Amino acid sequence: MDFAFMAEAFPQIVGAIPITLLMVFVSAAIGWVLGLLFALVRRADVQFFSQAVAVFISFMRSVPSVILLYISYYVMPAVIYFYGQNIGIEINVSGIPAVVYAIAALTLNQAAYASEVFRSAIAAVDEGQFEASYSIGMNKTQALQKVILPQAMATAMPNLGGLFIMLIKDTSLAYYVGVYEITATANLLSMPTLNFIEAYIMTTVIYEVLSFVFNQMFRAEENHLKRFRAVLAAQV
Amino acid sequence: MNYSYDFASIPDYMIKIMTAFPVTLEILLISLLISLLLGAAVAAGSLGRKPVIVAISRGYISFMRGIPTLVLIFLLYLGLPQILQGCGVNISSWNKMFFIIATLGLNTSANMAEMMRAAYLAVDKGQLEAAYSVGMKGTTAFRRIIYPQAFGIAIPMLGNNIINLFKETSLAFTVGVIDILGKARAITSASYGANKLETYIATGIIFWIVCVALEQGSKYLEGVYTKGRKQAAS
Amino acid sequence: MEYMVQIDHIHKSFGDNHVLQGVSMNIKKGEVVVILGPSGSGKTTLLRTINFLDAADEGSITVNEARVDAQKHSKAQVLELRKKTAMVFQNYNLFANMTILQNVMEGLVTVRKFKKSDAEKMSMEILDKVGLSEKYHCYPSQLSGGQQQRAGIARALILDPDVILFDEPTSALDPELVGEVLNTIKAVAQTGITMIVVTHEIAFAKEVASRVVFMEGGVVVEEGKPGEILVNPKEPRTQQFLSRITGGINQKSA
Repeated sequence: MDFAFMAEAFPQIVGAIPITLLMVFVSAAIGWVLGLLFALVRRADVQFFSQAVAVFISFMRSVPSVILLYISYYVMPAVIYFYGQNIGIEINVSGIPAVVYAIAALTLNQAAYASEVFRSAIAAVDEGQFEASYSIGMNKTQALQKVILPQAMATAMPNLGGLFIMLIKDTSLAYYVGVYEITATANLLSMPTLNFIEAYIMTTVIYEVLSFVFNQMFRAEENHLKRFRAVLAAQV
Repeated sequence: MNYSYDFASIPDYMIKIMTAFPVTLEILLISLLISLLLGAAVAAGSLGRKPVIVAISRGYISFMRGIPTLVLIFLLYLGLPQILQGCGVNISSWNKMFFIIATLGLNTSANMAEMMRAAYLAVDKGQLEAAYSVGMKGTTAFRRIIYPQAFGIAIPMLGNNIINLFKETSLAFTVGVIDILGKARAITSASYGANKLETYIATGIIFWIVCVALEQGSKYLEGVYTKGRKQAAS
Repeated sequence: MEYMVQIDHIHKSFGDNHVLQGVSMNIKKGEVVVILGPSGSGKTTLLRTINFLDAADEGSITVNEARVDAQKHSKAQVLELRKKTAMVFQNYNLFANMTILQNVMEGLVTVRKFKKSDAEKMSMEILDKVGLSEKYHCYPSQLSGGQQQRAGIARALILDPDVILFDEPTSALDPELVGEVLNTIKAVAQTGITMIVVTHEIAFAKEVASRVVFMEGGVVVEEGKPGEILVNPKEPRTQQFLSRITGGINQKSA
């Protein structure tokens, strides 16, 4: 073990954590909101839209993240460029940082997975809960917002936690479109001196710590959301 | 900047890329086998009575679920040969397939272990008691009563795990194995980076088709397997 | 062999909860013993220690010369004990992955090593006896609770055990299905097989039991002929229990 290398490289790898977390937080935030939207569209069975969303989700769930990243990296510049032309602006596409493309791919990937999570979580809420909501005069939106979604969230939370961990791990693939996140930084640092084992042990530790910390946070949130069930279980 | 794309060429690329499909399939099947065997051992350990073995099994699962596949590949492909070199063993000349298969086998085994554990625990406890009550031994009860039911419960999860494993084979190019994504990259680099988008989309479509087929297969199997004996609702 | 079942000073705790506090009982061949008691009295646990589904902490169980000591026994001894007993469960516990016929055959084929064709023939006969001729090839989930429980009884009977243990066999049933299962159990009792039944059905106990045992707090409070225990119980605890459970109608139905 080359401890001198480790001492020197560790702060730099740790320094890449913010860019990893940036991708994680932005992709999860936008992706999950989109996912909930997709789930509601599919539930509402809106002509054409529901089918289009279903096809989109199927594609996003089937294609490996690394390929999604590549596609995003090569297709997004053109989309942005032509959109700019359409509204009359000449956008300098090459000035857009790679992390944007990575986030775009990860966001859509998360949206697809999250929509399935929300769909099954909503389906798992007892139909009687809807009926009870209507019986006291709520409309569909109110029922969803006040009664169904709070219960569905408790069911969804463990799966969302799983998605979140998956997302943290997937950000390592952003390396391939040139984002200097944790894995890329470690790899580049290790190259000149061939300190692979040192670099990757440190990288592993960092990812394990991140996974552990967020896992605990999701567990805590899950228990918080499930408090109404704990009472129920105690009564049975 | 040139943004001309030739989407009509995608089917041609798909056919060219498919020539590497046997390699992808080989990676998939061998690592699947490894993950099932290893997963079964870890699941058994995590369900057992020896606290040390339970802790090791749980730790293994948690470790494998926390590490990105790419990092595990680098650890095994770049790091492991260095460690073994230090012990006087030279594996850097080993077939590159070994490294990708080992990575995916290890990585997926944790998911398989979790699946088996969950399926085992989902079988009603009364089933085991009933098996004992008619005089069965533990192993007989597992083979005749618990396993068949747990398998039915695990099918959807198994389908998911296989699909995820299949998607992860796309990282084989990282160690220089020419699987379907490796082939796609070879095609684009042969044309100096032109048609990158088309080849990646073509590869994406191949993954899409195979995943949908796997998903349908899993649903079909579940339907056949649990026919007439759905899990009781309660 | 004087007794078919000997329960000797059985103790059993779950954590701090001392569920069985030294229960002993000797049961002769052909006796039908009904165990009554409030929930938490330890009656189900006692039943489950007889075939070691719950391993007792102290004491011993002997069924037709197969003896298992709680503190010192081998797996083989437990297996031997289980081969001499059979159990009917509250929640039926039919094997969910097998048809009714396969459920009944399973013990014969897998444990007793009968030929499949013989086992099938015997199983069909016994299923006919419990009124399930039409249901051979149904899975448990396709049957009513009463039908499932009758299949459970058939699965126990076919093993020709020395004693059958019934654990609240009608508690999980809808009221209108209780009768058909009780009738089946009565028919079994008339064949002269030794039975131990945990139940809340007082009327059934009166009709079928050769002995009634009242348990509370992990001990046997009182036992005797159904005519004594159910009509003129000596112990206040038994009186209280009976008046609660029958709501005072117990004289009328006698």
